[in-house]
Amino acid sequence: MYTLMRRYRGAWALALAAALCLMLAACGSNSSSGSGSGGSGSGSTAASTTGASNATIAEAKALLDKARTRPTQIPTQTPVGKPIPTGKTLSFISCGNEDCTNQAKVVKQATDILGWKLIVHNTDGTPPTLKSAFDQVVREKPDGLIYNATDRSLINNELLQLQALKIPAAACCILQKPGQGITFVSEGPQDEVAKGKVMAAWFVVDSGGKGSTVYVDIPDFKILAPLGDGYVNESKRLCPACSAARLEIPFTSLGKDAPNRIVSYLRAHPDVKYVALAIDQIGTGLPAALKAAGLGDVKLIGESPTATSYQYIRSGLQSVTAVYDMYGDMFSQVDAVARALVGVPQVQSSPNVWLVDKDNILADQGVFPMVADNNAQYAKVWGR
Amino acid sequence: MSPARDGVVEEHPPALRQQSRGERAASWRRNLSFGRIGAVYVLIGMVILFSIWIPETFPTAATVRQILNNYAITALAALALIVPLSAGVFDISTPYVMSLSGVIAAYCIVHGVPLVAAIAIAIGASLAIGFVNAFVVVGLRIESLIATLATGSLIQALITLVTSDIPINDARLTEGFSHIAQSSVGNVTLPVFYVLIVGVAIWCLQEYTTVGRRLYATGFNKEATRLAGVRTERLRFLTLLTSATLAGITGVVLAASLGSGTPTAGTPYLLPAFAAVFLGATQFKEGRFNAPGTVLAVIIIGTGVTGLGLANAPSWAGSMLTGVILIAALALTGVQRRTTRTGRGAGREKV
Repeated sequence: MYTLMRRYRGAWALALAAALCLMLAACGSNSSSGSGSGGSGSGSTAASTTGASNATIAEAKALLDKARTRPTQIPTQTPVGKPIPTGKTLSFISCGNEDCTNQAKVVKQATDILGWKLIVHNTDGTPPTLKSAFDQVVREKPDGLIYNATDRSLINNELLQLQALKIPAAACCILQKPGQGITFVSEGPQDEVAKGKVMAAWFVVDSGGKGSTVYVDIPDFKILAPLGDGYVNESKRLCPACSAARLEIPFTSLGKDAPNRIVSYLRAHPDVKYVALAIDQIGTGLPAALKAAGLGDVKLIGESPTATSYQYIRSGLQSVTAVYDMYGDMFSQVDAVARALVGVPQVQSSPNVWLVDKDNILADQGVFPMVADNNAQYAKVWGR
Repeated sequence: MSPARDGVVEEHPPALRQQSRGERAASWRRNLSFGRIGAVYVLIGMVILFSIWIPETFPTAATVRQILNNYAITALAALALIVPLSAGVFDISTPYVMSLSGVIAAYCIVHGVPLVAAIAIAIGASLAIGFVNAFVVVGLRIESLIATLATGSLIQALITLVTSDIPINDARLTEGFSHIAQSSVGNVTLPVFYVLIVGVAIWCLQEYTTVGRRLYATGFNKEATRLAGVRTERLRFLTLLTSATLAGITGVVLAASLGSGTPTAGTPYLLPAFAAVFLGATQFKEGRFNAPGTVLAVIIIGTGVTGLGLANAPSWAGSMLTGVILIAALALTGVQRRTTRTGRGAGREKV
């Protein structure tokens, strides 16, 4: 026996290591509350037969009808009131993915209106490259900075240095409030909650107040947590009998096994027919995986659409998405920098929310202004 | 004595007959031993464990289909690595080639190129990358791990230059093109069958051809193999062409499964593919990279991750399982290769 174990010690190590992992995972699934509701392996979530009341469904429908209408006004309506100088330099730190690449193009349109120069600092979204970009901005001393989705803890020193240099910094999609070097925040937690509520309204209305849903979150992006809070809490408020759970997947799953993880969850919870995605990028490849698993009746609710997800909506593979107001977001940040430079108070505004489905999707939906004359309205606000 | 046959009576010493039966029994024991197919027993153990843990969902045909369908691309990516690794060549650029070929195929289709031509162009571009890799590794004599890491980085830069990191999407990609990967036979998607075809082809190459034996020989001892008269540099050159071509095919299938040409579609497959190949090398062939072992490894990883997903395990569990299996597999492969080299002694094989 001892000789046998010595000879195959590597194989034994493999088997024991795998067994240990499975035991740890079993213990984790029994005690974890973050991976889904309903208990491990129960396969179903509780749902009463009464469903949501007519009043709450009507409330949800009213919210939905408003959200399905394309907005016509930009978030910032207050004119700057003072001449904004031309020839300024604005730095934009790009996170390196598709959204950030498009954001840079939108910011360029804003700076063109103002007659400013734009410097784009490209990164790959990893902490070292982001920090390096911020260091470079501090060295270059532009007139203003725009950045997105970078936690303060990584760049606190740089923000304080920018504050000391009186360089305004506007941010999007962060959990922090303005202050200590951050001049303005757009798409903050409260805005994400509002978007989540609209997505929840769609679920409640479409399910007739009797459905079960799961919100798929990426914990790596902390700003998505309020979106999930808004979705889950509002679902339960509008429909107390409905079931709303959360499923967390790692960022590294995107483009790889995210569809498999979601399919596994749905097979373990067969009553869940609505999947809400923290960002549409999670759903890349998901419709095909659902179809192959015989789950073609599951409906997808998304947010921050990509070109792929727009195609899914046109093809009926995804039901709806909450469009990210990229133009409104980027222009409001440029607006904030402009106001800081001329010394007028900041105007905090909430971004528009627009829910797009197969019926109201535009023919060439891509990167476009949610408010059709966004640029013209901002030019008026800026006195251009 | 044996019965007369054609007037010739054959005699065999009693001791020889007993040795043949004994040798056969020993051969069976060796082939079914933990050291030879330990991963099969691990897989059986996992299946039993998950079936007890989640009896409602795991032990079903749907689970088998889910594992096969969702890990077919990983298997194809891993199979692309076997041929160069057998010859001792690392090709880290395969995930980038996958991304490139997918983007090229999507670009061509969106711009009106017929489907077959678009795929041919994509695979042709992959083959061109293979030539570049082969030139750098064999011609310039740069270590393959570093050389292909560098070319991979260049490929990614090229993809970003062309696409600005924006996926290529169009309705035309969800029509005929997507059927390459999303069509199914009995709810088993076509990529599973592609794995079967490629796997069998590589297995036959390695098991039944002189080239296969020479690949292994080159991988174990390039210099000795060269001195034995084998053109090892040409072999290594061809292995990089093979891996690039297979990666290109995989990239097209991946793009078809996603319905878009995604600039970074291939990069998440780097670690799982290498994990599967190295784990597979510990099975069936005692330290040699092989197709059946690789496919088995993918199935093991897929079974573990899928089972954990069905059981609502924490999100970190799947990655931990993959990492631990890889470390243990590499340790086991090292033990087996050292044992194999020691066991050969002065014996020579005809190559």
